Amino acid sequence: MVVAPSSRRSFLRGAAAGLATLQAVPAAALLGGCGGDDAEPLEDFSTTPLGRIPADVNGDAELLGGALAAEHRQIAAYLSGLPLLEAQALADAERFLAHERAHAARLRGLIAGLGGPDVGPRPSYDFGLPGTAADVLRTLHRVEQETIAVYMQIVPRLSDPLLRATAASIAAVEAEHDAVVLQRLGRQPLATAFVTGA
Amino acid sequence: MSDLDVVEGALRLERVVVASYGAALRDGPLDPALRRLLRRLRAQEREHAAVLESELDALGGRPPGTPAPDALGRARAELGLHHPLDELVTESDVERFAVELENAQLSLYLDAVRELADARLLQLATQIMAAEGQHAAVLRGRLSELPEVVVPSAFETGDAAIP
Repeated sequence: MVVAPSSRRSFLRGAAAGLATLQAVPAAALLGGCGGDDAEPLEDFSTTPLGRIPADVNGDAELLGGALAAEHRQIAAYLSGLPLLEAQALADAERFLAHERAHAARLRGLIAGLGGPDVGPRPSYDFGLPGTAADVLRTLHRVEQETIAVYMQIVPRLSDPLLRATAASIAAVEAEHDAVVLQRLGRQPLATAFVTGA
Repeated sequence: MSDLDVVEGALRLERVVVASYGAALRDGPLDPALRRLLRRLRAQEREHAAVLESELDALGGRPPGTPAPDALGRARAELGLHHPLDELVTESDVERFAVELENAQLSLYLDAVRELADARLLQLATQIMAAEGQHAAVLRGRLSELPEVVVPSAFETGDAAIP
């Protein structure tokens, strides 16, 4: 049975309305960056490689915490790479950084609404020593892929359909970022029909 | 809505998208780069359709047929695809035509992620949705260099305006 377009759109409007009613995030919490945040890093994820959500992590708040940890890492990667980028690549990165901050803000609000603990950025991240714009872009590609992998793990495990939709919509944008980064590297942006981040 | 219904709906749309890309490749004005792109997009949509057909079979469903060329317009209209098949005059027309296809799929897979119960199908839908997002971004990038056009939103819903 095909979902008629009008009802398909109504599903989406319903999802958007639900997202809009979630607890607002205080402005100060939106300024997440590289450290200096009051929130404690979630211990479980700080000891596991990013991209590996432990099998025993099952609650929606905890799963979203894994995604938030990945977003913090992405924000740090974009911030650290901006000084080496120029022109179109710089414009792309600035926009994508804004997206990652929006993702982090949304996830923090969702986690707070679920009564979960806040997940702050790590004190530091190791992105090697990029010396050129191409080095930065390769790092951003790797970080985007790792973030996509996190979302691919958590979407099937989230119990709330609205949360799954949010996570999937973010995952799609991370994939879009990655496609653009690959194009800037002169590589094929559409490598696979099934994006896994692996 | 059952998982069977969701998968059947996704397969129906993928088949119409494959046929639509076929029509654009046959009738549209395409430079070599755009032709290669559309061929890759069509190939990936075919992969999606193949996996969905396998999943539908496993669920006991019956796969919808691929619309014949003379029925493609009606099949498209039923799925809310409005860009006329006979108005692919410029390359930009073809690119906008293709963005509409990808938007429709993004919208459908976003619904699917909310509706599906099976974890494996959820993961499949998310992977395909991400791929459709990449398709859309690459197509939008041919219409504009502006980052706000190429990746217009932090949250992909398939509702972004066609550039």
